[in-house]
Amino acid sequence: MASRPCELHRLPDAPTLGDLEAGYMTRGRQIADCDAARRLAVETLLAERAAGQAVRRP
Amino acid sequence: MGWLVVGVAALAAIVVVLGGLGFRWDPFDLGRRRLEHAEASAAVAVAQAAARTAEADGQAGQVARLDAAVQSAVTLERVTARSIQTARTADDASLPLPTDRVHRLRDHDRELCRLSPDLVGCPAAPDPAGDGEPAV
Repeated sequence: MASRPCELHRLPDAPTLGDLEAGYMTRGRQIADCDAARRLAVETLLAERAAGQAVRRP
Repeated sequence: MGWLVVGVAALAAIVVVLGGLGFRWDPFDLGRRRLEHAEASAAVAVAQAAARTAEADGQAGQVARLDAAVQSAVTLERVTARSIQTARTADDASLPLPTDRVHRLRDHDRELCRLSPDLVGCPAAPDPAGDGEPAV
């Protein structure tokens, strides 16, 4: 998930007020999605490191 | 021939008796080597078992993290879609945005794409000196 670039919603041609509001919401979702992917990657990395240290520990 | 049988029997009896008393005939110390080898094998087995346990724990944790991430994405998509639907049905949703505001928003998007060209939604290969501006 984290290897994918984050998304950036952009306004369509001849945007309306509804497009602006929907775009604002869509960008919020995109930020949350991207942050979730980042968090998953970090947690996975930390878990792998912890597992490696636990195995190497006598 | 008879003496030989008696001698072998006596020797066997002595070996049995001494063995029963705890004496071991091991001039090359093979017993100790076997013990060391067995201990080393046991240590390797214990380490491998610990590694397999850690691996299983790690996989279970990763599955749980992936499940949580997918569930979070589904929830995000659902609540956003609901909000967008409400926004689209607002009374003023079809009013066109003022041109100057559209230009400001597009200029900002262009800057975002210039600084982060990999973002999905940006042109795939943006001109680094687009809009007549120097590349960052």
